[in-house]
Amino acid sequence: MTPSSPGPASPPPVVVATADPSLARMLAFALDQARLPHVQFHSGTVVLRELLAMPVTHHPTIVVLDVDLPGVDGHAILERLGVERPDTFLIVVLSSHADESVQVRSLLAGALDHLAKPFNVRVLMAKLLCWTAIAQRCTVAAA
Amino acid sequence: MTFSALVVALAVELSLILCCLLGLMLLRMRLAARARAVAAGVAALEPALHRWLVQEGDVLEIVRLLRVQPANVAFRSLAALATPYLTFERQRRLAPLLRDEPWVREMLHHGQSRLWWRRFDAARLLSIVGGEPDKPLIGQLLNDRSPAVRLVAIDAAARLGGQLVDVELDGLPARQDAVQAYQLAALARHPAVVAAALLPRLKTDAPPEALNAWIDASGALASPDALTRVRELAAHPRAEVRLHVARALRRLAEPDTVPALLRLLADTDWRVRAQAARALGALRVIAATPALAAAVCDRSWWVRYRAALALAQIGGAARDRLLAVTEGEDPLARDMSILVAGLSTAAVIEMSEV
Repeated sequence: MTPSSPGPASPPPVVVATADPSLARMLAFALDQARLPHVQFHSGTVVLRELLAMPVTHHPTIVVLDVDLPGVDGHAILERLGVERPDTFLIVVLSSHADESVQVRSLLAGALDHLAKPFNVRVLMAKLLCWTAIAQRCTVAAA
Repeated sequence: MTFSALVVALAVELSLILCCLLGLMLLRMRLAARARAVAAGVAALEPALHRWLVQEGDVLEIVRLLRVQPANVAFRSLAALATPYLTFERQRRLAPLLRDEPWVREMLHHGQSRLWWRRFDAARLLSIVGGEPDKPLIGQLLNDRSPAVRLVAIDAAARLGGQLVDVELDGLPARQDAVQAYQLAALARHPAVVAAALLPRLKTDAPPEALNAWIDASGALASPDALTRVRELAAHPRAEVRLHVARALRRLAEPDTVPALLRLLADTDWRVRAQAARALGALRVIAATPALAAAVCDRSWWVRYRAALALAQIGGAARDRLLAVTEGEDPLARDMSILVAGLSTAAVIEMSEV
């Protein structure tokens, strides 16, 4: 796990799960530029354990989930979270497979979006900022 | 054989083995050195690429960093980063800046090499930086004697469109399934150009084998224009063609698709009926519920299976119809509906897509 340092009043960090070191560095750079606190995982087993251990709050956590993870793959994580922690996470799936079936599978399993590599990282950042704002509005509404 | 001859033979054999071992070690050292050089090249290039991709940083910084590296290292560093991170739009912005760099010219010169791996590298580079002047070379690599080179050249050709796409589409039916799948994936990255080239080919009197491949290509592109033309082939006299039509139409979510698929669901060929049921499920056509419920009683196992999965996919009242069949009188339909009704939602999604 590689945490960044969120401020005291910041939203929950964006969880990034990818085993691709170069992609991890690029996403870390982009998230830093967007001033979004983030935490990184490089194993499917670890990220699933950590996500399931997170306390249930009204503030949904955004998860950027690469499908190709060692241990437990992204689809399995998505399905498990859908069963055990529904409505707790906003999950964006990244995959090197652009097949229709893979995208449909992710979205029907509850993913907020499915981005096939190579994806436009600036578009991803714009989406993340938008979803962070939605997540904050959800928190305010729940409070 | 005398003792001295035996010793000589042994010595020759031993020296040959030693030579082989030495050769292997040298090769391994060379590969390791190259891998280190590429890793260093990637590490140098990566921050500049991130700045360009994330913040619209200076693209010329990337060009400069590549220029100072040996041609082979520059190519491999770029290839390592381009595939996963450069979208087609970004590649188009980078390509003209790189095309006339000395290292690019040197690598593209390998397109004429007698060694297939050098031609492969040239084709790979063309898929990133290739432009109009490279069309003759790409055309040549598309017909290369090495299948690996041909596969990579497809990407370069699809980027540039025009006559090269015609060459690819004409060659599509002759390719093996795996190659065809790769080719379709490459073509799908350029839907507008490929759809325009497909339209005049989708005719009833086209050779059936070729027509099947072009219908699959239309499905892979999910191009509404091409798929509308495909829908007109739903009454084709050849069952194989109707089968491909039914499969492709699951990507054309339009009201006129429903009657076409319902007709295909009543086809004489079970393969066509199965694909039509699958398409109706994928499109979640509620109006098809009665026809699908009837198809759960089909004499073919595959049709029953696809129809039951389609009802489960549509959900709601369609799922209720599926559950009703579990208590029906037809034993085959009952077995199938029990099997599918017992699947989890995730399993229904996964099995419907396979």
